[in-house]
Amino acid sequence: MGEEIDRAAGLNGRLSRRVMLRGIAAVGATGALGGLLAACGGSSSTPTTAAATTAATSTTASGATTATSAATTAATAASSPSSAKGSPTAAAAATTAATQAPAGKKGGTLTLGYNVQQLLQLDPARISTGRVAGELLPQICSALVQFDDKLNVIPDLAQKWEVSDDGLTYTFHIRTGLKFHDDAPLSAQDFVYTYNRTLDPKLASPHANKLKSITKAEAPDDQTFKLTFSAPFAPFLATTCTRGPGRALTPVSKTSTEKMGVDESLLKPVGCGPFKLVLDSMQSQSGFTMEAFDGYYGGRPLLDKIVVKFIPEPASQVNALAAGDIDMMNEVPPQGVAQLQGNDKVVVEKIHGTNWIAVQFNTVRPPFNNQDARMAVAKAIDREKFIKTARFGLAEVSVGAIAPAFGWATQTEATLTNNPEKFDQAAAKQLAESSGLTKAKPILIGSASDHRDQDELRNQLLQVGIQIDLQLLQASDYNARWQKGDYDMDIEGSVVDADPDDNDYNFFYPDGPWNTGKWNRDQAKVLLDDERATTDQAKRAKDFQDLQDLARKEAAFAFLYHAYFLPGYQSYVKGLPKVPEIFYMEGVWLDK
Amino acid sequence: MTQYIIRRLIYALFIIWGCATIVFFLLRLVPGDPVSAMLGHEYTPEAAAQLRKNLGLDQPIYIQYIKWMGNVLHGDLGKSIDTHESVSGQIVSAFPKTLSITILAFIMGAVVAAPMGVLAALKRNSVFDFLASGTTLIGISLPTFWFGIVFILIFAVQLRWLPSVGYVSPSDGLWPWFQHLLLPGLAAGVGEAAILVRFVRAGLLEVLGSDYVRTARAKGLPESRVILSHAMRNSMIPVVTVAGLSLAGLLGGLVITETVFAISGIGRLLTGAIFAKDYPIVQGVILLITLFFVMANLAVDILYTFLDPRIRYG
Repeated sequence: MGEEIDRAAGLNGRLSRRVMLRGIAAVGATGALGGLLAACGGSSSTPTTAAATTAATSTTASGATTATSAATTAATAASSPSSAKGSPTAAAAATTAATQAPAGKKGGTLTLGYNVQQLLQLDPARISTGRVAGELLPQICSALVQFDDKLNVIPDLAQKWEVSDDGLTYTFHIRTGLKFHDDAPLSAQDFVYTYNRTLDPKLASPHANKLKSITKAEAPDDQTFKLTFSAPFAPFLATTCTRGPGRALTPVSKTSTEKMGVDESLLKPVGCGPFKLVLDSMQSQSGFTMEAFDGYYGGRPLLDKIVVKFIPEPASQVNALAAGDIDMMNEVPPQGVAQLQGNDKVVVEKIHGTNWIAVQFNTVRPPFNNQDARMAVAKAIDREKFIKTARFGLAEVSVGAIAPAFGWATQTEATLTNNPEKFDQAAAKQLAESSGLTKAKPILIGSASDHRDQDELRNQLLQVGIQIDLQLLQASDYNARWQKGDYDMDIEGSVVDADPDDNDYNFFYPDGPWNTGKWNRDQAKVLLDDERATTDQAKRAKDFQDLQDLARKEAAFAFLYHAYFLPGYQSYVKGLPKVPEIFYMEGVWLDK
Repeated sequence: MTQYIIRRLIYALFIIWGCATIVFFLLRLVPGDPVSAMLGHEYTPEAAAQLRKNLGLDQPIYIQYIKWMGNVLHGDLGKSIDTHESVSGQIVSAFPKTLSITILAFIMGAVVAAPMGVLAALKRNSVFDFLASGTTLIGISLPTFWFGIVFILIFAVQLRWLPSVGYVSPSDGLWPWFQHLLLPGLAAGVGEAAILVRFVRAGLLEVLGSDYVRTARAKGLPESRVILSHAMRNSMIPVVTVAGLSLAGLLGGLVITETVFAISGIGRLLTGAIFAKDYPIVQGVILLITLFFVMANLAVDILYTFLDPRIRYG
């Protein structure tokens, strides 16, 4: 997936991409992939999970930091699909857990203050913003699989699945007794319907391309859903089948969807998740209400209701939480954390995410068609200072496009023997002069509603004699220019990644949809094609790391930081799993 | 008078049509594309082309205009490009919220402005006058969002007297509805009150120097009667002009207040649609705002005739 969030109006006159990118952590799916393979069991090897651990910490109002259960990025040894036959073994416990009713006090209404100017889509096949997919959609729509709080893929509507040795066939075994919120039964045929619907040109789904390597989708019986691929696609489960991020195959009720029609169903999905959308409550500018679904296979959720209120201004969202007007907010803006830390009734989580933010260069026109010019910018950035100023210290230094949550693949400054982009002001000055960058005035585009990153970058580049022309644009203009490659520099990145492939493929593949800077390298193509085709996780990690080495060597991007994910809630809100960028709220309850 | 009103209404139709047409074409001249905004990072040329076709955006601009204008004449403002909701439906949903805040802001403004402006004029160059001038300067200079956030911090966060965000429909309770309106109404009303105070003061000062006021005083009329019955009425013409335009402006321009207080009114609807290039929404809301201004101007002109009997229209 790897998306930026809602750009419309911004989420945010304030709902701008920058606001979204700044605080959104992506779901790490590396653990998901490992967990998936673990769940699938193995004929040739036993999957192991939980290699690197990303510590999830809660910062309480008093400022004390307690380590909560670690969000684990699984690095499974058994990453080959040939090992993924048969019933899930490691996931058996998870399956049991998933079908047990959650524990905690029943009843009550939780008010979620959600930072968005306007909700544009809630139909899974058409949601174009990862944050909505990760935070709102999972309450209404379940999917074939989901994540646990250690980022392993575990069963959801599919209680088990197999992947053939050659990675070309996926067979999902659907639970019995499932139903949609309109009481229509759910069977394997509904997944075939979903597959065809996502591919329907009338829907113009932005996720149709995720299904392009599938040659056949069939339901041999009511409980079996089978997919045949033309080529192996290692990140398939994480990116396409998960509850929340995996929108392409998230089922909706055929009966209700066809009755509503294409227009009305855009904002009113009828899924089979733990909460049912109250259809009449949906107001795209104000919010909506969800009620507990008695027919949910995992048992009725603890909350009776979730009322979602759209609050476009982050400062107002923080104040609403501080005032007790909302029970939870999806993400505390970095500048609001200090205000809430003095409040002993509020908890702000600080979770390592899977996002990455970097300076993207237009590599086909001057001045950044010159590698020395790009490297001058990369070396000129003091990333620690950048994070302190632009992000209020709530991020980690990035050396590549794989966030720490993907522990099996990530690299850090400490682990790199040589980082050509390391901060070196003297070298940056020299390169800037020799490449003529000090005489050029490259254009840096940014969002008019949130440009802290751009301001800090401009200030730091001035220190080495590089002047830039900062152009702040409204969301739609920014999108249009970015897509056309009409910029010299841009601060870009990816959020809500279910797998490093989500964003790396789009940004680094020659002529990839997000590779608007046109950094086209044959080696990048080879590496990305290989990581998709192989299910050996160690091999995939090497491919991603080699790709980052190449990107750093050529300064394809000047990597900046990985932002923390910062959800906030009242201290009486309990039971929220700490999955980065995803809210699964069936187990949430109110201790009041 | 009747003929005058009919003539003005006919002019209004032309004004509304002209504004709507200018906005229609201007929107499409501005760089950017609604489909790019909708798809965001999920943009692919194929998805974009299909979406443009589905939305009719691939048709020539004059065809789009003729279709839209034809629909408007049939009372159909179209559907939002982004959410596919009916434009009329969204306006109907947003308008009561904006109207509620506007009325409250206006009342607050008038309640403060009238006595404060009168007293400032009567006690010219006194301590009260200087305080009034200073206060109104602050009210005009400081932005609405500042007042909004400060009021939230004081009354909602610290004192917890009032809710910080949101709107409750009157059908869900008159008191909760009023509670949710107080802070946004106050925030929006401060600036309006400040402007009106100055106009009331200036208008009254000018009139107080007139011969007929001097005559009224010379005749021994009580000062209160001189002010209220003679001076005030004649000083109201510029105040009514400003108040009328201010009211129309509030109805279409409360975007800052609505954003800070998370109220989905007309201002937010319009601003969000502009950013997202949601043409039908922008066009529909502009039509509405044009109507407000035209009607406000007409109402003000009619009100003149009550304030000053010398003013007559034929």
